[in-house]
Amino acid sequence: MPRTALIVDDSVTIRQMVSFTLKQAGFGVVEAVDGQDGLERLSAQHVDLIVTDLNMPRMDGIAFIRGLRARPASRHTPVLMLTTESQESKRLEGRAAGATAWLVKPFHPDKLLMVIGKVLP
Amino acid sequence: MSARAWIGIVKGGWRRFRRMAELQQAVAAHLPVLPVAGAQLRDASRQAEQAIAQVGGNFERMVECARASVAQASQLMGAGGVGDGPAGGVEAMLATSRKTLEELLVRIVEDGQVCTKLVERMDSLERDMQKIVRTLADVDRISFGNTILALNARIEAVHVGERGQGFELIAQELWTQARRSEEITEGIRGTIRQLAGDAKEAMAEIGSMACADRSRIAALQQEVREALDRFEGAHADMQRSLAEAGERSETLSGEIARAVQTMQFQDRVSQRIEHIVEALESMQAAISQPLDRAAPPGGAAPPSAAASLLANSYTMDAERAVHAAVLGGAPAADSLSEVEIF
Repeated sequence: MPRTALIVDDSVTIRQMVSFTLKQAGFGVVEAVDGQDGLERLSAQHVDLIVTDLNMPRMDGIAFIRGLRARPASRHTPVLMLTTESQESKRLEGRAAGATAWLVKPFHPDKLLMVIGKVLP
Repeated sequence: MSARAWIGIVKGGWRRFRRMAELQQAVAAHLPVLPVAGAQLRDASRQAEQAIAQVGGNFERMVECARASVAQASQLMGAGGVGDGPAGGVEAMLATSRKTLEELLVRIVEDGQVCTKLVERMDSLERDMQKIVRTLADVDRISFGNTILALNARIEAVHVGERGQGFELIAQELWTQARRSEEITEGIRGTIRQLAGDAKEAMAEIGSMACADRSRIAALQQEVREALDRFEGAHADMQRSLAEAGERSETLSGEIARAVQTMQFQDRVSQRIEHIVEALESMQAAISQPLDRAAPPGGAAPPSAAASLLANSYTMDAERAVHAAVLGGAPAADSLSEVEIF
């Protein structure tokens, strides 16, 4: 049974690249265009991993993480923030919201998979 | 004109003056946003250009790798007239192997034929020996005749008495020679029998070996030819796969060429950004001149809401660095590590 990852990003290009990388690594992939869409996808199905952007329309990554951590089903799901944001304050905010790891774009596929390998139980 | 009217005019003028002053202040406050926006656009355009150039380079190397792989495989296979590989190519190697194995099989068949000829020669030899044996029988008959003759001579010698003594000596010698002749022919017959027996056994062994070799060689020939046919079939399959890989490589090359063409949108985008930046610079110059002539009533204008909004929207060190370079202020903090697992 392949593991499933939810990719939340308003950039089609980034979703495409993350999706390609994860599919190559054997993941099933679900995509969402922002935090709100991501929460709706999580209501419909269980995922083993979440990769999310920070800055998105409607609902940003921090609010999305807070929302999913409030749900029992996704309380312990590893969440990797994949963002251009490099400020320490934002990173701390992400950590406080419940992010599991932080990776700055542009990402190298091997590095993304390395981080995922470390955060997945 | 009444005083009331004058007061109205003065008040109206004052209001217009205040509105102008507010407008001037607002323009002065927003004016710094223009160079920042222009610099950000230029920097983003430069980054996009670098990224596109890198992607173009990656694509180029991908095509080179695909082509090199196909060329190397073609060379190894000796296919497509690319040239001979390290061992003359698989195709040449296959032809050489077939030739060598065919020659080897011919040699084995020839050896088998030599064995058959040997058997025939030994058979002929055995027949010759039988002839000798028959000839020895003639010698035996002669010898027997001599013995009878010697016996009769001795009887006659006894009859003639003393005068026949010399005759008896000759008869005795004739008898002795006949006995020796019998012994010699018996010895020769024994030797020939021994030789004929050995030859027969050897002939039987060589004959059975040659017979077994013929069937083994036939089976071997069949196996070798089938193996070579299979090898050639596999080689043909590999050549087809290689040809398909070459076609796919060409398709990949075509796709990448189209991607590279598509990526040239970056140049168009850069030009459009440059046009906007030039317009922004022109606007800034046009607005700055009258503002400089008119000293701001309230001194230096405070940062506008637009400038603050822009500054707060930054997520990347590069953006903050450009902002600081244009407007001054704290330089961007050192980047943290790209990855952090909490």
